[in-house]
Amino acid sequence: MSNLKRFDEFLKQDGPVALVLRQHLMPVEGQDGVVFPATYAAGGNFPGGYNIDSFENKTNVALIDSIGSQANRIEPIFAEEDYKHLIPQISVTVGVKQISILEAGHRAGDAIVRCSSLAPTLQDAFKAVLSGSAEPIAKIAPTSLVFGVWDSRDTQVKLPRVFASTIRAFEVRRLTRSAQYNPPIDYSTLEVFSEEEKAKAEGDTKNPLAKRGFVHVPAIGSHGGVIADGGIRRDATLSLAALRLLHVGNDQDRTLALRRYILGLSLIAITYPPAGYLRQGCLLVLNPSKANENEFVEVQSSGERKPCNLTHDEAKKYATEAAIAFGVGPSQTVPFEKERAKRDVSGVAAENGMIDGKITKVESESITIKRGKKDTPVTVGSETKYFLGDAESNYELVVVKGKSVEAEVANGVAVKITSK
Amino acid sequence: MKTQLCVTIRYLQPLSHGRGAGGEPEWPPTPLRLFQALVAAAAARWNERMVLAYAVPALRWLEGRPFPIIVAAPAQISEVKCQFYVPDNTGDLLVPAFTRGDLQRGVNRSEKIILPVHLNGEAVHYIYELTDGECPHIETLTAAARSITHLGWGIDMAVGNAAIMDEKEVSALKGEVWRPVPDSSGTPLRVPIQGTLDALISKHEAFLNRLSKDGFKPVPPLSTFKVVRYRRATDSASKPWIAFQILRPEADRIASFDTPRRCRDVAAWVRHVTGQVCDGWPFGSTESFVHGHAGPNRQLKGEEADKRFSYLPLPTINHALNRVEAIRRVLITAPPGFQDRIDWIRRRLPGQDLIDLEGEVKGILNILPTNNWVLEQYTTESCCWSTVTPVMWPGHDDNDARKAEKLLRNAFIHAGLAPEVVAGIEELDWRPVGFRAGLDLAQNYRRPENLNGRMYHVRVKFAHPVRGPLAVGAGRYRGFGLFAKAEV
Repeated sequence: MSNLKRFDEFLKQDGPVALVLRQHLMPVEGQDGVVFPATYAAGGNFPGGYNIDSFENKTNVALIDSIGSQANRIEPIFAEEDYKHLIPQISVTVGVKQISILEAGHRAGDAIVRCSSLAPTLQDAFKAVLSGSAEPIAKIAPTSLVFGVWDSRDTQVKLPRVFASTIRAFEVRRLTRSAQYNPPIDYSTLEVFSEEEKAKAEGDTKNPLAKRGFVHVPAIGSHGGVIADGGIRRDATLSLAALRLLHVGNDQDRTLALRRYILGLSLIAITYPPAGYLRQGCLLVLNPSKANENEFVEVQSSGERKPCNLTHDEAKKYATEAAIAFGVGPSQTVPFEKERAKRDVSGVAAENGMIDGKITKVESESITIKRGKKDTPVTVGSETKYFLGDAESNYELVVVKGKSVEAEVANGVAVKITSK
Repeated sequence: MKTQLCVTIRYLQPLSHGRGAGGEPEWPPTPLRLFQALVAAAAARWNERMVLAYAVPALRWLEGRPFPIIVAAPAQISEVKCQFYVPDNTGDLLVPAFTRGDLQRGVNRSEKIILPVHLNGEAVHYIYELTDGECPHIETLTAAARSITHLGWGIDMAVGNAAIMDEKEVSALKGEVWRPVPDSSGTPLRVPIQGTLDALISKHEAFLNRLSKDGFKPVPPLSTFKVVRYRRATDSASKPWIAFQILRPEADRIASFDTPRRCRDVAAWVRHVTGQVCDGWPFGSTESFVHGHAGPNRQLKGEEADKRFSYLPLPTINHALNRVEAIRRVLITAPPGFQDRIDWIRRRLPGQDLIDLEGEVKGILNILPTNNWVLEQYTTESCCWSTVTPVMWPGHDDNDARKAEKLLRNAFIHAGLAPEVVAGIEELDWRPVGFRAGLDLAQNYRRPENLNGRMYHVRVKFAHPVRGPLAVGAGRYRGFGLFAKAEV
């Protein structure tokens, strides 16, 4: 029996506005085990280390895993065997490296993707969002709709994240740790270096001898993790309100199919088992003693909360049906395009329009046109036509370093270059 | 029953990261922030990402409403400025490294300082007065509010709603009540005004077109809004004031006056000279505001009674010896919202003589820098305060301690403190003997004419910091019942 309409209540304008999941976790060692939160660099008046906020009532909260970090852990599951059929698998080839769009920090808006042969298609897809259809972007990069995207390098389209997750620890007690490195032998007795050099290097972690392990090096009072007396909790949110902002123009059937598809992917993200290895010293599992305090609710616009009963398997089943109904976009491996990147790096979106100025650089497949202080690389190809004034000419006569030209560019390639 | 429009935002996590002007954490979220979220939500809800149309009449109506009252969950700003590093969108710059086979290179990262506000609750309500009891756009505004997905940063996921509420429902909302105030105290918050919607539409257009073949075009910041100060009931209203030091008539050094014997006189001299410089006073009669009279030999009463200057001689607090000494300075305060009166006398009083009843010059007023340490003992914030001149009871306590406490608490309310602040007083003591070294017995202070209430020294500890100057009781306009900061 079809599962497809099961969550249509979530997609109605007067339906619940969000799903919220709160899961109690614990270190694999036990509730009172030591867990290592994320560390952050010093800056401002922050001395660096764990992000722990303390309050007047003597309580505190430590950040274990941020929203960005959680998204980066969850998004790549869509490349795994169990889930890869749900989305198009898009990769960009750069030399010997292949980068999945799921790994690109800025998703569909990432520069590495925008400088591939997929760029015109992606640009059109982002422009379609502005025109009222998120379908094209869902055909290429549906997880960009789940985890949010900003096409900061081009169209400026911003789509809010539908799904977010954070892990925090409460009432934490900080620990420190110290260690002592002992070299296997006393190298100074072998006259590798003098006693004076040894004395100078010991304890100085920046000294080359210490760095290379020739002398004793103590490490004192570094971050030793925390004990979370108040427990560890993962808060995950699926914003149905954000989901309902996705449209396919005025086509209600396609809009419904799109929303079901993105809902399916988002339900997989929110129900994906959270436990796991976050970093050294931070392996978390569900806390069985607080299982009855876990909460998975539908939040109404009035703030009212109703229990939501949904398992990960059910989410997967629903997502699969929704993906089939929507029609998953084709998987592709596309090459990175150097010229496109050059144009992008120069800060000029020379995709379409007129460019005039002096030719400052001539390469095999491109020329650079300078106007004022700005260099604009323009790709030339077999379809480019050359003119001297009104008369058609050829490459050799028109493309001359130092000549003033006017180039008409379409889709990043010069279609007409006229020498003035 | 009066009805109001309530737009509610519920945060889905107990944090907010929105920053106000100057980059400081912002709480409560400003009405402008809500308005911007509604505009964005409307554009997405009706699929009008390029040209807003459907909700325009409703949004124009909303931007023209009087400033809303805000009921917000209590919140606390994080103490830890945590520095995150977010990846720049410059993956293309890694290509040369990848081509060389260096696959480990990562993109550059930019510093991003995170300073969240931790919420003790989830909701923020914006209450808009409905002048004729009707909200003609409630359906549109409700749909737009329910389409809000974030308020603040992109990580501040939230859900919204809008509803018409009566006063009873509004008063039942949980949270701290923030009201717009006309004076310069309180938290400055941006609010939309007529024209904000058009300005936002223009800004959005500029944002979408900021990158073009002509290069980068900076997007001008939004400027069509107003900054309005909001204050909670528990925040003390800031009274405008001007402070002087009193020089000897020879102007060779600072004059000093014995506090118990001359406090009333110094206050009277300052009031007299203020009246003398008020020729051309543009704010109506000087009789009430400057002299505190309703007419010849008639005291001000009722609501107008507090609309007047207070003349507060300031006993010196000796920092090194931690004791109260003679009067060498004087403060003139006005009620909140009357900064213009203070500004007016600020331009005229410096250099004026203080003259006693016999016509003898007793001193010269000289402007006192605001960072004067003694002055700061009277004008900054503190939870603990104690008197440097006794409080004159504003009624009879019949020697009943409970009546006395009630009188005293009322005296704080009459002095301008919110009832919530007075109700939250944690410690309240009074006695004839001072709570500071250098004070005389309360009954030894020469009282002003016509004031005959019992006098006590008082010490108070509030639950929330209260900003000075703080003078309470029947003689509060004439230097009695004046408090200075005390040790916690």
